[in-house]
Amino acid sequence: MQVPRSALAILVTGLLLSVACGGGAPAGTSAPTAPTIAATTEPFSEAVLLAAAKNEPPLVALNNSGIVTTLAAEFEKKYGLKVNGTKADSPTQVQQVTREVQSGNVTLGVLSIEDGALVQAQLIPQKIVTNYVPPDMAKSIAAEWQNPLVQLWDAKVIGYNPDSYSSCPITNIWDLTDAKWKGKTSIRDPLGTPEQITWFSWLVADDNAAKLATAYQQKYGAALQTTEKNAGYEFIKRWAANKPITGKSDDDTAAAVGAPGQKDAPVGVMSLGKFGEAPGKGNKLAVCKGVTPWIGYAYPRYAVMVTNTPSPNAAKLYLHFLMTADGAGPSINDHGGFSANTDVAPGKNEFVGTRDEWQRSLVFLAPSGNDRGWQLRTPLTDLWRLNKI
Amino acid sequence: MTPTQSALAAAGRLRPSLRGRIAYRVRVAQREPTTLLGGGLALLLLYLVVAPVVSMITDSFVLQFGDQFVTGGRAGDLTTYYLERAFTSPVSGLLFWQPLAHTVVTAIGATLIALVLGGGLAWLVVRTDMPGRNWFATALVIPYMMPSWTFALAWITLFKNRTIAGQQGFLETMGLQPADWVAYGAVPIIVTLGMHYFPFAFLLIGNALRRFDSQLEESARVLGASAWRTTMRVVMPLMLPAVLSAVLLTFSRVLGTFGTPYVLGLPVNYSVLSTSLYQSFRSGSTGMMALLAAVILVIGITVIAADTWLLREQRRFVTVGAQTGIERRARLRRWRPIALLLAVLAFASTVIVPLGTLLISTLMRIPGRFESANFTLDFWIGQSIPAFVGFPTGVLRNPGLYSAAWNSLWIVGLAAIGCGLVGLLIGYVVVRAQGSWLAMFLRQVSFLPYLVPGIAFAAAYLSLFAVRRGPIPALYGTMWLLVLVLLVAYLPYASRAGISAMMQLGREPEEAAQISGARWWRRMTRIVVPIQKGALATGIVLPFISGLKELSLVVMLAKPGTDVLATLSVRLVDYGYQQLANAAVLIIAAVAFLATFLAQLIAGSSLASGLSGPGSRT
Repeated sequence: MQVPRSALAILVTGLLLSVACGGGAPAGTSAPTAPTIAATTEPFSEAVLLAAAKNEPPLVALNNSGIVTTLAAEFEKKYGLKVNGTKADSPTQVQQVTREVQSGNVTLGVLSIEDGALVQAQLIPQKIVTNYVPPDMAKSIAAEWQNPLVQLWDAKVIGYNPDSYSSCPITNIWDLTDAKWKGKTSIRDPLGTPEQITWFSWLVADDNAAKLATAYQQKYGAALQTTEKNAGYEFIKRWAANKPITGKSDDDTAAAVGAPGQKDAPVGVMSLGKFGEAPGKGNKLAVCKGVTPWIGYAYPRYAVMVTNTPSPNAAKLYLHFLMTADGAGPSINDHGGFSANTDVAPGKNEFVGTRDEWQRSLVFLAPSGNDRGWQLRTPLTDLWRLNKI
Repeated sequence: MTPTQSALAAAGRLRPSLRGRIAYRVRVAQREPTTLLGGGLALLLLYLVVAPVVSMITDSFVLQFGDQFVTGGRAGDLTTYYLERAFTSPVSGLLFWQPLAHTVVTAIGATLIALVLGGGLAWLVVRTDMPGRNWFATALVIPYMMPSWTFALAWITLFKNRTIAGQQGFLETMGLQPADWVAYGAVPIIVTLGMHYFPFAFLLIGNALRRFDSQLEESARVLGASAWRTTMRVVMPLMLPAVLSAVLLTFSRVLGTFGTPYVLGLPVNYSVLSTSLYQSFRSGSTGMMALLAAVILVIGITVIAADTWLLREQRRFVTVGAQTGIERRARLRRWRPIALLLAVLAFASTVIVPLGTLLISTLMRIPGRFESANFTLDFWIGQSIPAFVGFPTGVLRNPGLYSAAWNSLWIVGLAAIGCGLVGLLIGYVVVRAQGSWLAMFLRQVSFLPYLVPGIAFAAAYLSLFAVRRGPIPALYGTMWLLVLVLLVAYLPYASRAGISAMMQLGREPEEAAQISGARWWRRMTRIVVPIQKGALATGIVLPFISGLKELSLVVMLAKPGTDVLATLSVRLVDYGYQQLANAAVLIIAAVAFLATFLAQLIAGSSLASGLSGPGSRT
């Protein structure tokens, strides 16, 4: 059958169209200029927000921690509004929110995300998320924790297995890089956990690097010789080369360190929540106190609203809820930490200790370091990647 | 003027008006819309098949947002940053060259295992008098019906060692420490992939052996050739197309497979191209993702092209002869028990051991401890499992599982039905417009998704539908993207089924209907579709079953909260909730088995014949 010219014409047009559309703007250049949600200078009225929220679709909230299901239940009990809370790690949250906002099909409402560096350096300037501080709390939250909004502070510390050791076998952070602990340290894989790379970016800051250098001197008796820029880079490099056991989540680390009955269990860096969950899972875990210069790091969990969310009023109500004692309680009463809202009392269980002990023994990943964290992200990731055995 | 000339001049003056001509064409098109239909299908395929691939390739050369400050350029500029990073930078070895080498190694290894296992078993079942062979003919296809990473999870449950964080493996709890190369890396990946894909070889070579005319063999023997010579000079060359098809199918599936290397390779940084692509996706490096997808595509095309070229020789001759139907089976005599043992071992190690391991692990709180206190049904029907914060109830009580199952069913179902219908339509156009280049175009382009290994195809769709382009909306975030990607990815199967079915249907029934006045739509619904029920069923059922357990295509497109079963299972692996992940995978396997048996009942045909796939030349 002879091909009519009409078919040819259709095909040629189709080809041209597909090339034009296929080679269209790359994702990302067209970040929407959405109008920012009304500034937080308006007074906070719970009743008004609640009334408006009742007409909105259920809020979708993502959270690094699985505690989100408890938070959603508590919120529903308090306000009668349904929240779909799902646990999702930082890269997943970023991927999803970025693609949704760019494509215009936004379903998400609130992100409780720990990757502050990316939020501050990329998501907020690109107007993919919007910062919202509940107006009635603006005075009780420290100014430097308001943009992006910090919900609470949690920590990741070095833990050991009491079945294997009567007390913490690590006394100096450089032990993690020592041959004695080769293949016996554990950490969540930095390549999939941007928050950990932010921690590394704090370790290479001048003051912290100096502390590391001093700690090295204390352990080995001699000054550190390194070709890297400072002691921080050297520490990261040596640790990567010391065969650390990496896993996809802190649960994996907790399982490796805490499996009962081990004679020479590894030590590992994991979040405080794992110490709380240990009895329920049959793990044996205890916090290593007294490691020079730090036992781990304190990190903030940020809470931001998604631009163009279909449930903005529910989102604001939820953010307000997160900053109250009810919103922080499930986490801080389980394993410690503290809310960024000074009106909220500290939690019941504490694995690290008082606020002073927190300051003394942990590196605080303050929002002021987020820009540096973002800039150093690729170089530090590559440093780990190239040296990891 | 001559009478002819004046007649022609008169006819010219009587030429119908433009409106008249259009009206005429419309009436013809209503009766015989093949060209219009073909044109529409061609346009559709251009956008759904060609455009994503083009978009993916161009994204490798355009600076993506997020990487601006690294190079100092602006998003949208042309750049060689990704090429440099992948091919020449200090991290290129880790990001590209090693994964490439690993991909080739695992693909070759898995293909070899699949060939040996599948081919050997096929010979035993088809050409010998091994006891129980009819049962084994269906039983040995079961490994393919399970999700591909079932074997990986079972392996990890058994052989995990201390290199990676997480719960201990069974052997570890019993005091044995599996060596590093046993627990993770190349060997487990090759073995588990071989176990999953050997049914392809089994079916293809089995079918070929079944149709092999034993008279040829007997002639050779009568003429004095030894058994060995006969096999080498008569049987093997004629088996070559089937063997090559099996190699091709397995190799290209392994190229794009994601689940197994994710579980067994990534934890020790044994990366293959598909997991490297996934890592780039996760870290937001869409440029690197596009580049790796393009490389996978190129390799896939090369493999298919090589196969086509190799088979060109084979197509030059055809054995002409009657099918005698004499079943000539080799007598095994004293080897019978051993053959049976081998087949039983194969079945046990590829079906019973993996499924059994997973099942037992879901019943144990601490893996590997065979104490009665350690056994629990919590992971299946527990009201609340306190320490598992992100998924706090047993699998069968969790609404998340049921919503994922429902999503799986409706998304895959819709995609399968659409796929079957479009495949039949393509078959119709290709056969009715035979010889035209519209037909050739449709035939080739509908086959193109076959060349794009799973995860690369998903990456291409992600990059194409991420933003609105002209009149086409951005589909990211909707479930329709999943429906579309599954529909197009399985189109090769449906269109092949459609084409071969339509080739066997002559024009006569349709023409008779046309003469009686039936319009095209009526002819399709009352004549063509009912006659082609079988092909339509194959075109729907096969994608349905494959889609249920598909991971590579959906892992990057599903979102937390709107999961399908496969992505839910991977999410549970990521959380470290091993027992729950194993339970989820068992559920997928059960659903896939159920669907297969139901389909076999309804379609009344053996699925084995359909599984031979479009690459089959026998």
